[in-house]
Amino acid sequence: MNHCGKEVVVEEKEIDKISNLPKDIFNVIFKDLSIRELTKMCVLSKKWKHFSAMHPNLILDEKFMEEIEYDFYNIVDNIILQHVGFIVKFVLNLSTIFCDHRNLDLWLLYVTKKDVKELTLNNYNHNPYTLPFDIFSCSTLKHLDVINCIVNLPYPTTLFPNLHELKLEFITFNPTIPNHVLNIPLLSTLSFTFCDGLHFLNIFAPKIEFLTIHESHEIRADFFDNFSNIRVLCMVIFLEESGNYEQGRFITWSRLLCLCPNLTRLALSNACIRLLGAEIISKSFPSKLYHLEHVKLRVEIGDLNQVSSVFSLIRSSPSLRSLEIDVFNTMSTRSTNEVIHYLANPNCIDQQFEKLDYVKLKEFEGTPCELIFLKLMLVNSPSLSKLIVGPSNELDAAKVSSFREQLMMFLKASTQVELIVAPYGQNVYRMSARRWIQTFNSMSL
Amino acid sequence: MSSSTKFLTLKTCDDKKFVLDEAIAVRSQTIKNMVEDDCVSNVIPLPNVDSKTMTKVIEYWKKHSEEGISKDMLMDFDKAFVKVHHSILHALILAANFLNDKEMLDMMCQEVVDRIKGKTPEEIRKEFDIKNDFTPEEEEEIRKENAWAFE
Repeated sequence: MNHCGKEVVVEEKEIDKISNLPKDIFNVIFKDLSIRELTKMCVLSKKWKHFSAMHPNLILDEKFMEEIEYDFYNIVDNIILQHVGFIVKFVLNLSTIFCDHRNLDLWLLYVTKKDVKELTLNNYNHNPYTLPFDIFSCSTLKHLDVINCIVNLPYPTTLFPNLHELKLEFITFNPTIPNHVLNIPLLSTLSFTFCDGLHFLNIFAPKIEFLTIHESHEIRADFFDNFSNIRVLCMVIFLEESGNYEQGRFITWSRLLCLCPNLTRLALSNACIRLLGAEIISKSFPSKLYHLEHVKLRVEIGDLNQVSSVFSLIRSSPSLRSLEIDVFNTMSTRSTNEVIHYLANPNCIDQQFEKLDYVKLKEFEGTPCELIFLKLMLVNSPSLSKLIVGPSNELDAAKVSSFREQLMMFLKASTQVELIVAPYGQNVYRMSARRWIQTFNSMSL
Repeated sequence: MSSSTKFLTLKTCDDKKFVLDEAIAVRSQTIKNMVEDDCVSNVIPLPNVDSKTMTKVIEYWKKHSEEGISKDMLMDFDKAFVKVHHSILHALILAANFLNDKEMLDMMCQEVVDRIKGKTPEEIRKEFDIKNDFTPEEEEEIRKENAWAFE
């Protein structure tokens, strides 16, 4: 029988429509699907045969690596070399697998030639990998996140014309020329974690808004010179390493605050506060921080230089809304009396903290310095709505409740303040520095 | 209804007209841009959307614009809303894309992913009426090349 030319009724509902969606919608739909799920779809029909090879995101994460461990090299090699079209996002997590660096060079060369925009390379747990220069000539990069690598910079200048976000962890900079210029005109987020050799770099990034420096040393005093747009600054340096800084090599409070007048959030570790304080601390800093709203500090509360720095910062920040302090009690009580004397002086505070509505003091041990500090906060903050005290593990339940009663008796400028003393045993975890930074960075702006 | 309420008339590709509160219609970024650029005459033509699909879109917009509706109620509504045949899902994705309603587009795309995740190729074909036009040999070849994905 010949049906040619005859009308045939096809049930509308039985037509395969999904296969014919436009490519950009496909990319939206499948942006988060794992590479295994994507690859399985090649057998659906001829239209889908090259589907996974054309997908713009190659996410080779830890889970994927575990699944293909037995033939890791061939599978990854096939996926990368058979890819067709542009790669937008490339993630390669080698933290659980050994990878020959020559293969890695080849893969990265291939990926950077495909105009990749977001590149994440995690080489944790292995010997540091020397990043190939292809990465530094990849002008399409918008986001670069690398862990555990060596960066050799062969030329005096490196330009990333489109980079917005740069996250570096366990990176050693090894330029052949001192004062290597990293020119990143659009960069808005920069984060150094456990990085070395930063003193070789001159970073030109006038648009930086978010800067995190975590245990990365040799930060020169002029490091901040080009960062006038910073809104969020988080610096965590450990005490042991802070000794590496000779007098005058780290930036001071007054210079930092003068260079970064747009700060809205600031988090500093006690060693940073100590380094910044290598100057005569005036009652308030020369430049006011009109936008600073959130401050989080780890403070050696028995140290006069640190305590007076904190108060100068508060006095210079008329918009301050929240203040979080992790108390760090050092063994030495040498200068405790100086601090008590400083805080008890009626001239210590001659202004109200008009906007301050949230104060939190953690690792509270009930020392006289801490109690006077809390008293000053309560009596000078007319807008305060919450004061939270997290007692340290050193205090037993009876002491905690006695301090609670003491705090209740303090004069309060605000009529609506809620005073919370966490019960004994609920403030047990001293946060790791990494967690500390994460909680700071996830705080709402 | 307050006197300030403005109405827009939307005309679908099959010449059906829908009169809709402007405040609701601007959930579509496409319509919003047209309103803001003041290039709206009496009727806004939607050449890429048919009336059946537009009815569904408006149902979604109205529900998501209801005052005082709880999050739970919206979640229940969304859950039921996406449980449609794949041909309607397809039409809604194209409509949400054309109208540039990101929230709706994301929700519909997520539904497609949910219908794919964890399923075998046979189950996916059945779900979306995809006809397997490979010979058994061809299919076997592809499976062999990507054996790691099918284990």
